[in-house]
Amino acid sequence: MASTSIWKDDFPIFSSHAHPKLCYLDSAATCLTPKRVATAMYHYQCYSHANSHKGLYKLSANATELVEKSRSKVADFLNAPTKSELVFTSGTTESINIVANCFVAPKMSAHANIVISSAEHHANILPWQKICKAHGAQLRIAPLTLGGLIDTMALSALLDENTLIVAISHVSNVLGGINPVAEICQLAQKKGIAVLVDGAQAVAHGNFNLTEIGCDFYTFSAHKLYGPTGCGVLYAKGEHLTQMPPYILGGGIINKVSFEETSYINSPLKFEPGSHNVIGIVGLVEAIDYLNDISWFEITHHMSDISAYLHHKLAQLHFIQPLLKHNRDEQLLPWLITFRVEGVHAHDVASLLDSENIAVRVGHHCAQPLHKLYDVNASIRVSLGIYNSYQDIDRLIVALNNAYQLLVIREFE
Amino acid sequence: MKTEIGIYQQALLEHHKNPIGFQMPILATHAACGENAICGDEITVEVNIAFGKIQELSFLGDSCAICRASASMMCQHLLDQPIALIVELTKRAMDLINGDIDSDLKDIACYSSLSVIREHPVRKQCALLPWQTFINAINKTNL
Repeated sequence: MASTSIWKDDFPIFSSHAHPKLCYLDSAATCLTPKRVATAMYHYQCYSHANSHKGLYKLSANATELVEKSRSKVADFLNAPTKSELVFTSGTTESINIVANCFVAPKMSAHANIVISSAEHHANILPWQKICKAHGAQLRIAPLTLGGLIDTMALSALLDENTLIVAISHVSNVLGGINPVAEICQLAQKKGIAVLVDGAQAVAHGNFNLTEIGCDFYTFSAHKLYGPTGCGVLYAKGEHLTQMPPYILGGGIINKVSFEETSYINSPLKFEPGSHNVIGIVGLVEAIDYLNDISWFEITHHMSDISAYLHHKLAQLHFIQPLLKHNRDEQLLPWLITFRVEGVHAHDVASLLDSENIAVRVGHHCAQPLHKLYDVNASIRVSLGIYNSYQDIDRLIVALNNAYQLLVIREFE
Repeated sequence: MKTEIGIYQQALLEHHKNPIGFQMPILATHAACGENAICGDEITVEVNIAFGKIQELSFLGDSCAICRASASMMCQHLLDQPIALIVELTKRAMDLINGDIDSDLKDIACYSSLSVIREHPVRKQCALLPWQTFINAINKTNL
């Protein structure tokens, strides 16, 4: 019974001098920061900061070692085959743009096509749409099942010899279900097609095994994992990294430069020009350590428990209209839910919840095409983190009732 | 920063729940659609202009209570107004929402309750949208 969260005190934002009454239900947008992560970043910046991969002095060498050890830790976290296939980026958005521009764009032609799903975040639509438009190529959209997951067979039917990549989310940021990415990878790779998996919303679920998923590219952002913004990871199979030209050009990515030509190094560093975001990388690794120390078993148990409670309590409110109706017998309900309040606009609901210190996301959540599919302009998304408990959900339910009573238009009563 | 509950004053709620001009069928001479991409408000404003006056004014769409109340006040206030005045009247309403003029001026008394929006910056665009859409409508050529 998660009437409270034993980890809530790890997050200084809830302390008496900050926001003790905050009920934070927007972890799919960004997770709050544990003190441990903030402290690690503070200590690095105050006492260990130097430019990594450049200087020969000890301080710089230590920073270099820190980044490379961090790469290994992230590889362990993801169960990636080797750390040399991991690139530190600014986040999922940049990672997808790297793959679009450096892996796919050079192969594009008017005959080519790219396959995504209906449930993608704009970050996993726009780069593909742009390069398709530039070459007169096709952007093909795989539909969803009634359960809100990518329809594997329908996706398979879209693949042909001209498909350059399949780019899909591991977990939709609106619907929250876990897509059958391993199965999709198998289907695509039988036809020799690369697969990119956007793991932004999946990363907080932990228990990764990239080797088992078998994708060509996987990406996530640190701030969806209780780490800082501005830091993310792109996993790419070594053969692809070797073949791909660098994306942003700058210092630290070359073997040799003359005014006539340049040869680039062949390692993840090719995609990490300029100075590394070491403080961000420190924060990411501390977040991974923090979550590992809690144990992913405990986290999954707690999140499943409060998710079931959230779905159960919302289902009792007659005016809640979820985008996707879940079977209550499902063992593992999504850690988020997106819905409308009958007769009350989502923006008004969010304003009234905010007046009671309850933070939720409203709008289209950077997934306008998906909202169009469900024939809504805006929705309310409640997403959970390890600091949440039954208490937060009970407060949400009371506040939703109040908002409905205040604003509902009579025709909906 | 004011708490958000303060924005839902009785006058605004009354317009939200019993809006003037909402989904009212009119013989429109001018029309425009507007949207607020951040929150998903969508509104269509339709206008009938004849004999130098606003003869009919209506709106429809899926929008929040603030947008809807603001649109309702607009329909109430601009009806029968001469074309020569409406640009200035609209500008004054938008100035009121933006906090650029006082709410106790007589000529804006009928929508003075919109002045509460100035204390809620994130909701300004909701209240401005009907007025901006109205201006876009009348600037278009006749339907």
